[in-house]
Amino acid sequence: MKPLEIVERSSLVNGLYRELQLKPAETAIVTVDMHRGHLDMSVATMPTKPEDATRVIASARAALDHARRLKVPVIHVVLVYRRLPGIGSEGMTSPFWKALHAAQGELDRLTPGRKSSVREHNIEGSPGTQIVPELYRDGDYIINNKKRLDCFHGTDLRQLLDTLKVKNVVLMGINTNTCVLNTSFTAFNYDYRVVVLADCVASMYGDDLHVLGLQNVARCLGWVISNEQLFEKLKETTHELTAAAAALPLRAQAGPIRVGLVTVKTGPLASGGIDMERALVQYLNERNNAIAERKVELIVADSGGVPAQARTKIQELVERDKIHVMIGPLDTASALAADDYIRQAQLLTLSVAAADDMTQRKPNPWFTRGTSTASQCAHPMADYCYKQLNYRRMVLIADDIAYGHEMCAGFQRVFEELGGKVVQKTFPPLTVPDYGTYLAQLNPKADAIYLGFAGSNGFRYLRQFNEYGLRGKTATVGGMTALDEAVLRNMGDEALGIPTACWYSAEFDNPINQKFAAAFREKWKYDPGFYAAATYTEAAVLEATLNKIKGHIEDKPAFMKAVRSIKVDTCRGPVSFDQYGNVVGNVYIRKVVRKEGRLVNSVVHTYPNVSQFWTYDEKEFLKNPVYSRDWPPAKNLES
Amino acid sequence: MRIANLTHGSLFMLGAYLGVTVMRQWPNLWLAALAAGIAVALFGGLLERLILRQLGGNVLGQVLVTLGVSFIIADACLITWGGDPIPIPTPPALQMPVRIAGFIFPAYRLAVVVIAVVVALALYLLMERTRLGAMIRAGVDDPDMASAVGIPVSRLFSTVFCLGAALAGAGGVIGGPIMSAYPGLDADMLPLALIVVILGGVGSLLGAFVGAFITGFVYTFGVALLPDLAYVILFLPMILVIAFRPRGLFGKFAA
Repeated sequence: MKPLEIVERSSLVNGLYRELQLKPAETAIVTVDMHRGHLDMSVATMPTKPEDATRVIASARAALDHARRLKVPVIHVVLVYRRLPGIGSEGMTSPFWKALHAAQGELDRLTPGRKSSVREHNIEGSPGTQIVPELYRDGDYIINNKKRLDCFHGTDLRQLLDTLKVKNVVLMGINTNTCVLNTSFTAFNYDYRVVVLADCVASMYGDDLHVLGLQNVARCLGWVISNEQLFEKLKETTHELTAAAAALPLRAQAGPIRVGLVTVKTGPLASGGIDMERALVQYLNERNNAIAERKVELIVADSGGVPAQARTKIQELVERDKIHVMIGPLDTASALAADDYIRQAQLLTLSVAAADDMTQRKPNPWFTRGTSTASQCAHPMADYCYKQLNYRRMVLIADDIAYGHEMCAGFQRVFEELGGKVVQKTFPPLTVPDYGTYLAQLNPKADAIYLGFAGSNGFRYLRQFNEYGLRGKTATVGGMTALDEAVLRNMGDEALGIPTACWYSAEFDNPINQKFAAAFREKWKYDPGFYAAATYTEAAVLEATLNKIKGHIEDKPAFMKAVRSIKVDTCRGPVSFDQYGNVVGNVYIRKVVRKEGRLVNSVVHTYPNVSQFWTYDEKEFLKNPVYSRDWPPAKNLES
Repeated sequence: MRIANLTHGSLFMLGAYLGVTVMRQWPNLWLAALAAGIAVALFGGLLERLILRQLGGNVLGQVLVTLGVSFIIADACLITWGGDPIPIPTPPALQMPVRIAGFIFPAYRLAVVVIAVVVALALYLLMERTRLGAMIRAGVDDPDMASAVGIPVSRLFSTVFCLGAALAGAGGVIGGPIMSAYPGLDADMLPLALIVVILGGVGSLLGAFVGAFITGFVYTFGVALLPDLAYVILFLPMILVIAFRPRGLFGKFAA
């Protein structure tokens, strides 16, 4: 048979699309057989192609979540067969299906190349009859007595739709060319508007029949649209309402944007955590608590720096407080603990945690980071140490946590590739109260020590360093948190002259930061540091992104797409994002000096637009293992 | 006595913070240590009288209550003194490192060692060579009999508890120039205290002394020689002792 060409009807389809109106109040989504019997390969008796199942579940989930937020009802119609004595499955009373079993082996029936069986399909009580769990939420409707190809046939679907005053039936599910198509026909016959979501349907019979089903609907009886087009249509009508509802200055009908800040207000990390809240509140106050013409509601949660608690709090923020976007959590361990929940809840996340791989080898599609990875500032610091300070032999010391390992590894890679030698690498436990032992072992023949500490550890290390009479014997330099403004304000001359690398300095000289740092200092009597700048930057990223998508934060995929395309000037300088959601921005080399009686990190050198991959090729970089204690291997250690 | 007290880390931290406050007014470390010791002793006395007294013999209750109190102290310190680490200045006379047999050693640390030895000796003399010490020992060994012969066991135990708290509080200030005062100091110190007690044996002064020595040496040399095992090494002697000698090296009761 000669291959058929699909007739070109785009003008018809485009014309129809312009005519389509979907008011949320008159629309329902009907899912057709989105059950495990088709979509879960571990139990499916009539499986789709596995890749189709993955695609359909992900897209359907996005569409359903969106619909539920707009109060569009979701109706799941599921085929379930009784097993009757003497007959077997109710499905086997169909002469066609009976013939199918008589004529064909299990690998050669309805699904080409895959096992399938009508006889075993979706028997009452079997796992196949369950709706795919990702797609079901409390409040959805279920109709589970579908017996044949049509969702209306023998069920109360029509009655339910009419009770809900639905005029537009949006269909998704399996299979495009049989159940979905048949339901489209019946819906058409009853004078509903029929819409099929192309992203959320598939056919187990073959791609050709999938296309047939879609073409049939699009050209004969309804609309075939993408998820994004659906969101657009549902929104258009909301906007019409706005215009009618009168000239509110804010997009008030859309409700406030709820921002959840997950920070730490108790325990050892509280100092930075409280700064995060203060800076974010300052940012919002400066804008009268409104961005992108929508009000902003801030909900703050305290994780205590405990990963398990962070996860619970995030879940609470999402499920109880219904936040649209999360800023935080503060620490890497909490971010990692929440990773799978962020994916599951598709929670828009603007993070400050540094774990490299969250934007490298295991990127989370809902995660962006406007601060830096752990190694992002260590790369340029190594460059600076070798080229500007002419150090050739260095000692690395950092907390024994992923953050410390990644920072030191990044430093080591760049430093050694330039020709330097890392002669000693030490990782004291995070909570070691006394560094005496480590100080006694320092390699005396090194040019300098790189401090990769977080929290108060850098501060304590330096004090003990001086106590042992080492100051002036070996130079010290630091990572992005070793001499943060937060610890600097309690330090003395021991910190003077030490260079560190960070993506921010309270002394950084651009108009935004001058205003921010001055106002912050005015109010709290100290300089903003890493954590304050982090939320102030993330808030600017949020605002720029929302402006780009006109405040429509409910459209999550559009938000994440927009984040990756913005370029915004912030208190840390210009900021943009790479395809993994990680920031590309300046890294500053700062040196501690005394100014007006207090210690500050004065900027002495700027590395512009540093990416997480430094000067390396992105693909090559990602082929290497993630930075760790042991990678890259240290070949020049001397004991 | 026999109170399972988990507030020791918190009393240590509380002492450090109180020391910070005192030193802002009168910058003298020894004065601050004394003041913090007295203040923490009073706090300890109240804790013992008002709460722990009600839970005599109920070890689980004591553990839970003292753990709870330690959380309360931690957050109260955070609210009062903020989340930033606060340095405690070293006395000027002890700021310079000293050179002994070719090794550089901070003078202040040597002073701390001396103080520790003096305190240990004083405690030993108190317990073994004074009438008060004899009464305490009698009270611990057999409280009923001690009461019967006229020893005011209850008041005596309060005094002992206050003394313990005072040492923890003063210790916080004296450790301050090395460690500073910071949120989390309590959690850093408590395990050390517990390890020492379990290792040495509950209720034994000599045990605590030896336990502290072993812990200090094993930890210092352990992290120097086997840096990758820094976490394990601290607990290793304790695990061995629990496995083979549950009462601790010199303990009178099972830990």
